[in-house]
Amino acid sequence: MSHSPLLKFNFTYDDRFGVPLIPVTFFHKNGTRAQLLNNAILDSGAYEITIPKELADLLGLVLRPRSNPVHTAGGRIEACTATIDFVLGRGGRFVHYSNVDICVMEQCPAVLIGIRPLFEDYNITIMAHQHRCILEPKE
Amino acid sequence: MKKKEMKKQGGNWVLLNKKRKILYRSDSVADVYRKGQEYPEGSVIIEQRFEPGTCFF
Repeated sequence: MSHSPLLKFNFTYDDRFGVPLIPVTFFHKNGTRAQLLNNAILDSGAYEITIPKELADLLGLVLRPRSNPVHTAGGRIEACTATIDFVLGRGGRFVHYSNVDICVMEQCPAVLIGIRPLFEDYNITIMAHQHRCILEPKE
Repeated sequence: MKKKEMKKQGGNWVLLNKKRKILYRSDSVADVYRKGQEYPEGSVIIEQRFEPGTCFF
């Protein structure tokens, strides 16, 4: 995995949904960029980025079996691993991540941005009362 | 797409233009991404509309 120089971000999100949301853009396996997903869920309870299988299929990702089982609040479920490129940010301020291993699940209700890699690269403050999350690169 | 058709169609994944007008919606994230490919890169946005109070664990 690699990334371009990290930038500080200060994202505000819609308070209707009650969870912190951040903008990400995924790349197809052939290198073309998909459209911006404006509200992926920033989820410190998820180990890694997790996306629905139908999205992984559309992006042309190669799915690999996982060495470890996946446990969710709903119990143990089937999942795969894939490798993806994505950018974090919008409006001309981007950090580009390459070759990131992610989790792909059949029953995935949303796009979840988990601990690896963002919470490892950033000090993240979620200010729920202001509907804002601040991502500050770790030194 | 007409509003009436969109309402009938439903779905919690939406494709928006820069003025945040809904161009397409579906329950399938893949359908919305696929529709997004018909537009120039960066000219549309994909969002998921959560029911207020939805819990994710």
